[in-house]
Parts: sequence; structure tokens; C-alpha cells
Amino acid sequence: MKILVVDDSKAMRMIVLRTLRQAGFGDHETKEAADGKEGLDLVHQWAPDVIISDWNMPNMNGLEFLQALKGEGFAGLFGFVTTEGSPKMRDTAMEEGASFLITKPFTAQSFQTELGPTLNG
Amino acid sequence: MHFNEEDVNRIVTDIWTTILDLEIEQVQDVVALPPGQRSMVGCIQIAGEWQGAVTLFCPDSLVRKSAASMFGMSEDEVSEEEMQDTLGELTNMTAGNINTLLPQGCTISLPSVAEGIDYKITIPGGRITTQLGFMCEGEPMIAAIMERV
Repeated sequence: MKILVVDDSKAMRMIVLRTLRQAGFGDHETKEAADGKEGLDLVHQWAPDVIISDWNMPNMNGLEFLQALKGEGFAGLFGFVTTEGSPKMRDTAMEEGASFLITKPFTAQSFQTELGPTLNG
Repeated sequence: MHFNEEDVNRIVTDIWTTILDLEIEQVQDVVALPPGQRSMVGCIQIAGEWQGAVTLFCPDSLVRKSAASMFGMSEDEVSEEEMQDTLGELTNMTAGNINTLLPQGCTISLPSVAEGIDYKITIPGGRITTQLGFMCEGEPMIAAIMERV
């Protein structure tokens, strides 16, 4: 499967990719984007199956990115990896169509739990 | 607003051990950055019902060590940009987790990072409400929460 990692921090993108490998998903194809706007362009070019996105980003934040994708009929798996996991944010994410919200700092187990059913299948 | 020191300590130590795999421990003695040496500060502003900022102060050498761990490279290979990115993201994670202790609806800014020698950070109308000192791999780190009153 094709996995797109979207985060304005290059360091965090590397950690997400490393954690994906630790969770046993290292054989999937991956690409990176630095914000929602760049992410949306990559979705159009590359059509990923899974998107793992930060929330708090410049240019186009994660929620705006998700809303744009849903408006275009994106049917893949979209989840947030973010520093904030308040009940309000979690509710907002789910109402907008996100499949999961993982809070930073995270472990490989968090990724296995949320992505396993899709990526292991 | 009073922050529980145990909560802040748990947030900081979880982030540094989970993300960086570095040993970090809160210390009760006063922790100070080495005078006359370059250091860096990461800052995130929080706005809403509670207003203030979360800051992390680190000597240059500790940020370099942290960036090397984050990027999986040697300390010699780490660039200035990667050091700023690392401290910004560490501050972002700290502030995001502290935001969960605040009233609902507060929002955090994007991180900013500054560096220099013997500088002081102030927020107009702000005061430090919580400050914790840590030792990480033999180097000091200070986490401070400033409230705008």
C-alpha cells in the first residue's frame, strides 16, 4: 500500500517513518509532505491508500487537509498524529471523517493498533 | 492557573524517553544553563481561556544530541536547521500535551526557536507559573510555563 506522511517537522516525519518500520509496516511504499497543501498535491499525483497527518501545520492545517480530501471524495484511510488529544479535537476529527487520532509521543504499538487492521490485511 | 509539577514532569520525561530514547530526570536543585555558552529556546504560545507560553531552554550541545537521536545520525552531521526543527518539535509536543490540562478550546501556535548567549525571554504581562529543571545525559534542560495575566 502507499502511505503518505504529512508533518511540517522533518524530524517528526522521520520518526513517524521509523515507527512505521518498528510496527512492522516497513515494506509499504511511503512519501512525505510538509503541510496540507503539499499533501493535497501529492494525493492528486500519487493517490495514497493511507494518510498519516499532523494537525497543527502552516499553509493548510491537518483539519483543512482532511476536509479538502473528503470534499473530493477521498476514500482511503486518514488519521491524525498530533500533540493534542483532547476529547473535543478527537470528536472533531471523527466527525470530519478521520479514522484515528494518535497523540505524540507515540509508540510502535499505537501504530500497530490503529493501522494494523488496514496494513496487515 | 496552577500546574501540577508531577503532570509536567511526566509529560516531559515521556517525550524525551519515548521520542529521543535519552535518559532524563527532574532535579530539585536549581538548574541553570552554562553561562557564556550558546543555548537555544523553543517557545509555543497558547491562546484561549488561558493565555501563556511553554518554553524549553537547552544548551546547544543537548539540542545537537537530541537532533542526532531524532534524525538517526551522528552529532557531527546534524545541521543548524535540524537542531531548530528538533527543539521546535519537542516544544510542540510538550505544549500540546500541556494544553490537554487547560480549559477546552485553547489553541497552540506553531513553534518558534531562538538561540544566543546569556539571553532572557519575557512575555509582556506574563509571569512564570511553573518551572522544572531536568538533567539529560549530564546536561541541564529547563521547562517553563509562563502565564499572561
